[in-house]
This record gives sequence, C-alpha cells and structure tokens, in this order.
Amino acid sequence: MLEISQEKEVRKNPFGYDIDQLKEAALRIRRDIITMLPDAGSGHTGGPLSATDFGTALFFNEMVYDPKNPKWPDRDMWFFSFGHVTPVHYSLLAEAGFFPKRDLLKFRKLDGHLQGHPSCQDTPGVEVSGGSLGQGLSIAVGAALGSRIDKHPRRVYCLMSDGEQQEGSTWEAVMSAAHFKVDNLCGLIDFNNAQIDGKVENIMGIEPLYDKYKAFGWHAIDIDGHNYKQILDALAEARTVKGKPTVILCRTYMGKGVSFMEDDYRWHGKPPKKEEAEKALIELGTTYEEWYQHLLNH
Amino acid sequence: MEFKEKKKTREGFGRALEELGEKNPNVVVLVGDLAESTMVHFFAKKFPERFFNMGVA
Repeated sequence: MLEISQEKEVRKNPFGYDIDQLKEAALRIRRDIITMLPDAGSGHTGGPLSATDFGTALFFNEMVYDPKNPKWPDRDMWFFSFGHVTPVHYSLLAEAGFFPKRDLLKFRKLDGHLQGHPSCQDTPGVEVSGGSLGQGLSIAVGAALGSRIDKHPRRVYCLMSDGEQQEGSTWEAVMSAAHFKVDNLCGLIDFNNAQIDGKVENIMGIEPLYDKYKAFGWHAIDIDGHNYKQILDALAEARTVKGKPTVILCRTYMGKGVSFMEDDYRWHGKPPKKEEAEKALIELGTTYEEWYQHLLNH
Repeated sequence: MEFKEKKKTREGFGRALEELGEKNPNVVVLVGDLAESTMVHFFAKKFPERFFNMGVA
C-alpha cells in the first residue's frame, strides 16, 4: 500500500488557475504544439489542438500532482488513452514543470526523451506507455479500483478520443467501471468527430454516445469542449457523483485555434510544414522564430 | 519474377488487392480506420459495395 498523506490542504491543484489564466496557458500550449512539430517531420496536429482546452483545465485547475515529484503517492492519475496526442500531453507536462520546455524541440528525436507515443520509461509524468487505441480506460479502471482498495482519495482521469469509442475493448472497460461503481473515475472524450480516414459519422458512427454511456450505467455530461466554464463545471459535477463513474463528452473541433486546420480530418496525423507552422503561429499571436527561441530559453 | 521499379510495399499490397477484386467477386475488404495508410483505398474506390471501414477496431 502506498503511503498517503492525511493533510487535506495538500490535495489541491498546484496552479489553481482561473478561466483567464487557463486561456493564456492554453494559448502557450497551442504555440508549443505547432512549434515542436515541423522539425519532428512526423506526428499529430489536429487531436492535440482539439484536446488543448480540457487538457489545460485538468492540469492547471483540476488535478492534484507535484511536477517536481511525478511519482508522489498522493497524486491523481491521468491516462491519455489516445496516446498519439503526445504534442499536447508533453506541452502540458512542460508547462506544468515536469521538464524544461526546450525538451519539446527534441520531440521524436533520438537524443530526446519524448517519443511519438508516450513512454513511461522515458518521460516524467507519463504513467504508462501507450498508444494502442482502446486500452486506456481498462488501465484507468484498474487504477481506480486499486486506489479504492488503498482507501486513497485520488481521482483517476482517462482521456479518450471519439474514434476509440469504436473499439470493443473500450466497452468492456465501460461495463466494468459501472459494475464496480468506480466513482473516483472520470472519463473525458475528445469528441472532434474526426479520425484518420475521415469524419467519425461517415467512417463508423458512434452516436448517440451520451445515451450509450447512460445505458451502460455511467453519469454522462455533454459539453462544449472549448468552453472553460462548462469544462470546470463538468469536472466539479463529476467529483460529486457517487456510486458510478462519470464521462464528459467534450464537443470539440479538430485543429482548434488555427483557421486552416479547424474541423479538417486531414490534420489528424500530419505535422505542419515550416511555412504552415509560421502561418499558424502568426494566427496565435507570435512567430515561429520567436516561439522557437522562447522554448529554447525555458 | 522481374523487378522493374521501386515502390512502397503497401502500394504493391493495395494494387494487388484491387487486382484480386477484379478477378474474384468474392473478395471483400474490411479495414480499421487505415484505408489510406494500408492503401486498400484503391479497392474501396473500385468496389465500394464490397468495402467496409469498421473504424478503430
């Protein structure tokens, strides 16, 4: 059993940002995502940008952790089941202080510690290695059950994509979470309606997803995944639900924040070229050169 | 067998599948959200009624 601190004041988010501060942090995260991708030459752009807002809310308002002590026993746990959104995962970890921002410039490089898909052997703050879709929720249910055995007050967050809702393994985990009443578990789905081959509704539709989760015994909340008030309210509501897990359907746009990427599935799995990154960063209020230097210096 | 030019393995696979589709009407293709990546989209375009994208599964 892990040693648990009994001091209540310890269990709070290390930043506690308000909505304005969250928006500022999210802008930095989006700049980081765009800047780290061109040199990598491969990687995912669209999903990281759609998950930025609820990811920022989790890391800078909601979750309990210590960036200087990633394995702190008191921590909450988070799992990025859609492992390929590492650009946002790593940018959030760097912004929170798990490692320097300059490390982002070594994304997918042999001499860096940031693999294309998350590796817990390499990167502080990554709980388990992953990337094979549809696996994360099962891991999260296990972590939630284990925390309950330990009488640990932590909450467990599982971030999933909408495409993953097509996976049979996801629904095994959905059923078990309801059966075992893991109310310390909160799922968040990046519902951007885009996957690598096209629009989710055209490839293999998953709606009505809210009704499906309800029918499977979960508490479900359907929100605008770019609206901070709705995100924070949903997370607060999830904390009060007893006897069942909660899922938050975050309705988002792939590529959110960059006009020529928004709502376009073709940005799922490709990085911007340098010229495209320059264009995107001007839209985000900076330049490629300026933000590259910013990352080097932080 | 004679090798004339270098091509991606997946392109060879995708084109061969398309050819098989022409030769045999019983060939049906299922894919897991990777139609372009695996290049079965050649088959999909030609035989849409015998092609199923099952999503991430």
